[in-house]
Amino acid sequence: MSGVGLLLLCGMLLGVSPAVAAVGGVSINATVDGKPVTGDELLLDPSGSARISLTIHNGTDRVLHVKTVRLSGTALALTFFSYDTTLPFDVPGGESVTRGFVLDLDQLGSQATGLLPTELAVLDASRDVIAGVETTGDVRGSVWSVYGIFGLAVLLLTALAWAGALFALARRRLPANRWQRAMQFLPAGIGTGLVAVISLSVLGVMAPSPAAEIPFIVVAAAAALLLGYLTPHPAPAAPVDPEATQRLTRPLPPGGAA
Amino acid sequence: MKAPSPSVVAALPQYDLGAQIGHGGMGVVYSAVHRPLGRPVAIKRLPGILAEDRRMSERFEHEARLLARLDHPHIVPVYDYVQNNGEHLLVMEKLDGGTVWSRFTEVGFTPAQTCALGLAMLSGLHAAHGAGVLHLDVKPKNLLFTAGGVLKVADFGISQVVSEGATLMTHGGQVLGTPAYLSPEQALGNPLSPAADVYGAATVLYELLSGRLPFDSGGGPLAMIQRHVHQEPRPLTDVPAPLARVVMRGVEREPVRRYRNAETFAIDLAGAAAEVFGADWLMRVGTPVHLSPQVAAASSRPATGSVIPRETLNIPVRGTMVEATPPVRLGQQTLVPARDLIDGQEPRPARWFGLAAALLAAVMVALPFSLPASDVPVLAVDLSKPVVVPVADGVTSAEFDIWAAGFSVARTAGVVADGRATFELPGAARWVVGGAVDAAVTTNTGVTEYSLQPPQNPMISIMGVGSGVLLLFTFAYLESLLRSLRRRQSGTAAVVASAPLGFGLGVAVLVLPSVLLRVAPGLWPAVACGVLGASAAVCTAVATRRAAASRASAAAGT
Repeated sequence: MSGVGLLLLCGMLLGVSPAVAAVGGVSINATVDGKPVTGDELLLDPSGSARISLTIHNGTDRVLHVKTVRLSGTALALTFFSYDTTLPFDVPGGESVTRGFVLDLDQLGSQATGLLPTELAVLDASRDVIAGVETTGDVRGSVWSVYGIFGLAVLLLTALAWAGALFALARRRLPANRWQRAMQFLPAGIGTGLVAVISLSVLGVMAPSPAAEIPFIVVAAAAALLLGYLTPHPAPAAPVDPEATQRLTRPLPPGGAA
Repeated sequence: MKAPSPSVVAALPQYDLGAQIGHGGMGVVYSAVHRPLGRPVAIKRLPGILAEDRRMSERFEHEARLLARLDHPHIVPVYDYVQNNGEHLLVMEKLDGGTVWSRFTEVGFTPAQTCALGLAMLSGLHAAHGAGVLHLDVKPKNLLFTAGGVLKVADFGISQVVSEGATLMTHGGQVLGTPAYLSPEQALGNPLSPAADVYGAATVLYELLSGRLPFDSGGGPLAMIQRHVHQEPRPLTDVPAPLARVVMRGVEREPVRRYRNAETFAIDLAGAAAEVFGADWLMRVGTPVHLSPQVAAASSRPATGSVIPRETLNIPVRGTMVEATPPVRLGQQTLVPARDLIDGQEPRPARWFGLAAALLAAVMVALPFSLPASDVPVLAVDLSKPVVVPVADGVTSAEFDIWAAGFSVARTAGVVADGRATFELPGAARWVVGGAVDAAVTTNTGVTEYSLQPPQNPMISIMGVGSGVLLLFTFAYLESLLRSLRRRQSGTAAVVASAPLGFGLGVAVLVLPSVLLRVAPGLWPAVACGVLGASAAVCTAVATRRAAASRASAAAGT
């Protein structure tokens, strides 16, 4: 149990994201509705709009040409919402520039819900990120959002994987090889880990991040593998009549030690 | 009995074909009468798997010519070989005396009879080897008796020509043979010699003398032949040492350590038999055997000059049929011989065990919902953050314990300040605890118990998910065991295995509702549910086993 806890603790500790990012001497500070965007949770309420203020610090000696501001949320390497706002302005070298705008989050509720890793970034004309700040978005969306349905789909597939493995166990239809039986339980274990990660996110307990996802998935997969390994042999070996002439598979290549 | 197919009838216009009289891995045998001569014959139709292999069918044709020239009293004479319309048919002498296998399993053979049969078998094999043919499928079922009791080696269906130095490997990388009697070199697809038949003949003698095979026959054909390749045969105990020495040399793994040919094997066997049974043993046995002069001389000359009293050797050794008869299946059911049911005890009724299982299961399910509510104060705290508990004045030290179903989850010392104790719990506690667990704050002034109830969803915890998975897994595992009992594929072992599974099921039945209802699972309720689950599972297994026995008995009765 302590090993499991250690893995989970590692996931929690490593899952903390930096609040302010600097790219090539360029850094960004942001506020949403007057609240600074830091490593803490950032409330994103789909029922209203968010007033976003950005301050770009250009530590280089060249002019930065900002074209777009992007607010995006990702989980399990998938982007579930992304808002691009065109806001062209220049930041001369060695100077700071502050701009603000109002972002309508009306559709956010149908795209995500729960805690998601969120990034506020400024992009240039070729859509390359100039600088960005990462935080954890607390989206008060619907369970029937894209992310919620994604989670339900993973839950359904996981339930099917468990049902398939357990029905095969109950009906004595698992493979005769012990490792193959273990592998048959593996998808159910991986699915359980994914469901845990997404559920924690949707329920607002913990945002998904690679460092947090991996321990959950590895531990769940290992537990499922162990269960599959412990399953019984499905049926006695096919009856063999030692008195019957048969076509037999060679145990070794010709020339093997006799 | 099946009638021969039209293609077989068409291929043999001079024969009146009768019913099928035998069936084996190497083909089907029909009785027939050669119409012009009125001679009864046996027609063997070579199996399709060999007939469709062009190289194999060509070899058969070649070998059939050789076999037809074999004229030996201990080899079944081949009268004709017909190849027509894809059919490969051997016309042989019809032998009505049964096989060595059938007599071995019905009445058995005394050691002296076995030695006489062994000499006859080796005499026939040596004659075949002399003609350049290896049998390669020597086994009791291929040793037939005439009505007069003369043993004849039959079924050269997969035999090979020695001069070709051929292996018996098919193009699919497989070998042909009978697992129990297969020589290691034959199993490996290595070049073959008469020593391969010596191995088969020695295995037959081993079986007839001891009633068992040199190797275990469980685990499937591959496992069987791997034992032949990698393991030493079991010592031949309870058999006179001179005979055991000869037979064990015949089943040596290395061909060079065996007898070079069937003749030298027969000479040593005859000498050992004379040593054990006396110089006149062959005459007293009465089995008709045609021997070469060398073997005949050895059979009347004890190998070491001394003779063991023969009175102790007149008990026939009989095949037990345990290893030779595969389980017969009807659908998913494994059928058992009717005599096992008739001679055995009456199937005992299952209903009392079924009733007990239902009662125990009902109590087990009801128990989690009927436990008295705890009157300790509720501590609803988020375990991802430090736990703050108010303490009385004068408290200087505090320790926080959490346990679920009697197992400690976390124990940590706290910091006491301003009438509050603050505890930093291990990170795992947050994920282990679901619903409610017992907790206690131990201070220098006393112990205060709490019902710790984190506000998070109770199923987002190892207690929640784990108990759910444990419940489903143990339930499916138990059903798997019950199916094996219903099919009569397992017995006491399955009943025993059901006990720990039932215990796990019982514990899961307690913990899962406790998590959902936010009631702390206690140690003794968990043990009680586990014991109830184990008892219910064992009763169910016993009831299932008895019910299966009753069904089999009823089926046998009809």
